[in-house]
Amino acid sequence: MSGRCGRILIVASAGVSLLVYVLLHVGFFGLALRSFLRSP
Amino acid sequence: MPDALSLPLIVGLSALGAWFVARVERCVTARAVTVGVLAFAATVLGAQVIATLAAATKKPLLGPWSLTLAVAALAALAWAVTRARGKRGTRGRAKRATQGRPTAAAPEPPAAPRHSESRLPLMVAAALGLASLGSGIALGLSNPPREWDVLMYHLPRAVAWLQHGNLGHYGYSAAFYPGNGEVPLLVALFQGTDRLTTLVQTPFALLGAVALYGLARELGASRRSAPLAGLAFLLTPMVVFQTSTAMNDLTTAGVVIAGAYLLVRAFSPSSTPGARRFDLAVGGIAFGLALGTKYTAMIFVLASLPVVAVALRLGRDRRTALRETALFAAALALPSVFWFAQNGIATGNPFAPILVKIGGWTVFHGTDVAAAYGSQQRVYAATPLAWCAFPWTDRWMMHGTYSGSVGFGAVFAAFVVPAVVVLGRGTLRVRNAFRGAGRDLRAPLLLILLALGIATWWTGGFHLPRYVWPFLALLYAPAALLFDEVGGRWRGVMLGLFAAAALFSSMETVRLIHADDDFLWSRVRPGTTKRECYHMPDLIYGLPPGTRILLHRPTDSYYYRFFRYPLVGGIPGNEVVMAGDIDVDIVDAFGDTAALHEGIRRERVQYVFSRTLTSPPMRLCFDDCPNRYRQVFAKVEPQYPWHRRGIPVREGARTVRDFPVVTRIYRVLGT
Repeated sequence: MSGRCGRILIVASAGVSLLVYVLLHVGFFGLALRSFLRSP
Repeated sequence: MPDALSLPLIVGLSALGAWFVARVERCVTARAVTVGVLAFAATVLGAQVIATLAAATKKPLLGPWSLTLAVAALAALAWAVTRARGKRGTRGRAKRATQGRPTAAAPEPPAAPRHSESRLPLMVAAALGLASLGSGIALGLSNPPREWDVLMYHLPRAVAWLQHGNLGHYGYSAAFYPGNGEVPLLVALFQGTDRLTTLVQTPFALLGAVALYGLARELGASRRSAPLAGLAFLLTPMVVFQTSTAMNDLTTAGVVIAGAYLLVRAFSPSSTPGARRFDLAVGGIAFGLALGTKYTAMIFVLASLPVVAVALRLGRDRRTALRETALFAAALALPSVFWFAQNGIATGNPFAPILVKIGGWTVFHGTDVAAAYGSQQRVYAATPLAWCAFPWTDRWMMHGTYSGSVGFGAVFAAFVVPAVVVLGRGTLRVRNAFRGAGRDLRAPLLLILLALGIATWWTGGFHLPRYVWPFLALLYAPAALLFDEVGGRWRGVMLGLFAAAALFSSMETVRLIHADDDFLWSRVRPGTTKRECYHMPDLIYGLPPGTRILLHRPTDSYYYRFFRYPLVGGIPGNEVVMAGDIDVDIVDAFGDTAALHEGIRRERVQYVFSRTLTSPPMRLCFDDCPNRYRQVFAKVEPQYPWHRRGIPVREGARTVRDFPVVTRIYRVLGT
């Protein structure tokens, strides 16, 4: 993947993938925590 | 008799014998992987040879010292053969000046000046990778064996082999599965305790990591980037969790990755014919070990045979290609054929207990696995489409250690997309790989193996994450190329992302450990009894020796009351397992009510253990026959532990929280 565009594509896709993963997990964890706290 | 010395002797002698053979490898990485593969193969083959003799003589020959002797004999044979070959002259294997030659998919990038790169991200990732491996080992040492599969058939099988002195079948359908993965368990049990059984998979985490490093190098990754492939593997939550279990998924993953590495290496343009044959043979043995470890690898391994045959035919005459294909096929069969032959002799179905059906033609009778267990995938993903997103999503498992998590961790999620892009670009250039004298089939071969693995997993109808993991882990190798592709300061950014992903993966692992149920934290303390470890009803410990017990629908669900392993025990002097000695015969029961009652009568069953949802089948089986069965124990408990965390898990159309679980023990009257 030569060229500036290629490099940016690789770094951006890795960064966005990681961000999506982290956000999904933080959200999932938050939902689980909320359910746990609300459970009797 | 179990003997503590036999474990280090068997491990040491098998590694020594493997090292004698692996010396012909000039590359340190390939040599290390070869030693790992051949040491495992020597242990397995030694056990299989003794078991064959035991079956022929009907004597319990398989024990710690006979296996030690067998492994020593194999090591001596390896020494003698390699010495004789050495005297005839070396094979003239060309030393590879650079292990990672440029390939069509990944040309060697211009190296960035070293001084411009901070080592901090790599050091952070390396520290986290090692910490992950260490935490897996610590988990294994501080916990009893605890997974459903381990307690129902992996460990009971090894215990039965120990008790009977061979590798036969004992009592339940899972005993017919290929058993290479349980042989290390048997060796660990020679210690007289099950304490080390939770660590039998740890070496395979290292084997997979080293093989991924080598695979990345073969694809063209630099020495600075290739270690990231191995590190990423060690940071995968599933790997961390399986490192501490007595299951066999990590074993399968380790040998599949090692086999893929050696196969890819065999097709290096710089490989001499002798070197190619050596890598083909050891790669074949690695795949054969996987074939003899888990049925889930079977279609992949068998399908790799024509792929290798075609790759060998390209550029070689037919006779050479046929000869080398036969070598690969023989290597596949060497560590695996024992299990299929044993099944064929015992049941008429080499693949017992699996139904083999081609179109409408039933080749071998057995269980339709996809129909019987396929619904398990609902626990992992609600719809098939959800699998498209699964590297980025996460769901808690029934036991954290069982599959870890559905997601493969942050490192996988972050780098899989760009790795697929790079691989895709390699695909476009595949036709170039087939041209000219210096054709390089390494990248196309890896692509085909990867596609084959995912396709066989998907069409197997049993889409559990841990079954696809050996194949998806191969993606870590091209992911390492990314760090060379970007170069310059972008490489620093990528390394920073890697370190951040590694950190998040580690946090995920810790979170999943803490999210696990209380059972996981049944710590082994001095004096801990089997009863305390496995929460078995007290009644069980009052049963007289020889009691015949029926486990009703044992695969119905994942509860920890009536596991087979604590019931069979059978390791004298084991401070964990044998504190509550009981000696029972166990019969598994499936089928309809009439078949169940008939089985109870025929097998002279005295007690029926059942732990099911409060669903009709159980009542139909027993509650309507009060004259024959007396309920002597009953306890109602909530469903899965994660129910407490408020996560609805769907079984079919209804959430399982609707069903409380009833543990029941019935005494069969009149027997």
